[in-house]
Amino acid sequence: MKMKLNSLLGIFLVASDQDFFRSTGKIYVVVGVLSIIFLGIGIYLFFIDRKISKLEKTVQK
Amino acid sequence: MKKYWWKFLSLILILYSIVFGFLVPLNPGITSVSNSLLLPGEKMVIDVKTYNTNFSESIPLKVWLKTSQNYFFPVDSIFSIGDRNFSFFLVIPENFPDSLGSKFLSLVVSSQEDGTMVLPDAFLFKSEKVLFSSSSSSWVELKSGELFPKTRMGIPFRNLLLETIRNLYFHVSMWFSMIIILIIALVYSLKYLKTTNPLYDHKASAFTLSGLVLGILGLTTGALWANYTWGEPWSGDVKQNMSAVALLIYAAYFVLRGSFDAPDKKARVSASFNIFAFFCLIPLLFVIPRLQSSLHPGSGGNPGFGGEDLDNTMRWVFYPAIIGWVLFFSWISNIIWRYSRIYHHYLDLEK
Repeated sequence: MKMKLNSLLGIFLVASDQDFFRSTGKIYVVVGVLSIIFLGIGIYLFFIDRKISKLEKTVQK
Repeated sequence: MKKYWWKFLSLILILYSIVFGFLVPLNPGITSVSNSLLLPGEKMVIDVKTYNTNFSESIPLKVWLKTSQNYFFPVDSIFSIGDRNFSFFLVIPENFPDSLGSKFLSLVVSSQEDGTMVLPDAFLFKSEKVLFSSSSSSWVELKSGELFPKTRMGIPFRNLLLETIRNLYFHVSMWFSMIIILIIALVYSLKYLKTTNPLYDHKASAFTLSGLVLGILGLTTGALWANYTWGEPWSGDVKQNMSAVALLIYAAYFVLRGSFDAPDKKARVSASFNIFAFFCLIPLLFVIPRLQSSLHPGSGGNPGFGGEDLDNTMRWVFYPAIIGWVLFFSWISNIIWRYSRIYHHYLDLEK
C-alpha cells in the first residue's frame, strides 16, 4: 500500500519540476485547504450523527 | 419551506465563493530574475520569468529599473520574448540617483497586453563608491501615461503567495465566521443568565461548539498554508500561538460542562465561563498580535489587512464567503441545540 502511494506521488513529482504542492503557482495548497475544511465538516457531522444514534438507542429501550 | 431560505442561501454563498475563488485569475506578475547583483559599468544579460502573461514580439513591451525614490532607468534591448519570459541586455549605469533611499532596485515591466507589473527589490546596486547625481540623463522621472494600464480583472499577484492568496477566501473566512458564531454564543449565554431558560444554555453550547470547530479548521488550514509560504507549519508566530491559547480556553468550556451533574448549576457556571472566554479571545486575537512583530499581515499596529493584500475584486468573494460560512455553521448549531432540547425533554420524562 505504501509502495503504491509512493509511486503515485512519484508520478506527480515527475509531472512537475518542483514538489506537487509548489507546482503551478502553489494552487494545490488552496485545494488542500478546501479539503481540510470539507473533512472537518464531515467529522463534525459524524460526531453529531453518533450523538443522535445514542439517543435513539436509549429511547427505544 | 419559507423558513429554510437562509439554509439554501448558505450553500449558494459557499458554492459562489469556491467557484469565483478559483475562477478569477491572478494578475500578471514577475516571478524571478536570473541575476540580482548589479555592478556599475558592467554589461550583462538578464533573463526574466513572469506569471500569467502573454508577451510576444509584436506586443509593445517596456522595461525599467526603478529606485525607491521613483527614478527610472529605461532598458531598450529586449530580446527572445516568449509567453512568460524575456531577456534584456543591460549596461549598468555608473551613477545612482538616490542619495537617501536604499540601493535596491525594482524591476518594472509594462506590456500593452498585460498591464504593468513590478518585482520589488529585484536587484542590489553594488558599489563601494556610488556617484550620487540625478543630473545624468540615464535616470529619468516617468511622465504620466507611460505605463500601460491594467487590462483585465484579476486578484493581486504577491511573489511569495502566488495562487495561495486565494486562501483568504477559505482560511481567513474561517476565523471571521468563528468570531461571529462565538458572538452569537455569547449573546445566548447572557440571555441565559438573565432568564435562566435552559433553551438558551443549549443554544449557547451548540454555537460555542461550532465556533470551536471553525477555530480548529482555521488553525489546521493555516498550518498547511504556512508550510508552503513561511517554510514550516508552526513557526511560533504570535498570532498562531495566541489563537491556539484561545482555542484551549474554549475547549476548557466543554471540559467544565462535562464536570457538572446538576443541569441548572452546569448552565449557570458555563454561561459565566463563556463570557470570560470571549473576553479572553478579544485581546488574544486582536490586541497582543498587533503589539508584536508577526508573520501575519497587520502586525505592529497596522489594520488587519488591506491595500495590496485585499483588493476590491477579492472583497466580492471574501465577504459573501464569511456570510455563507456563518449561516452554514448556524444551521449545524441549530441541529445540535434541537437535539439537546429533545434529549433533556426525554430525561425529564424519565423522571
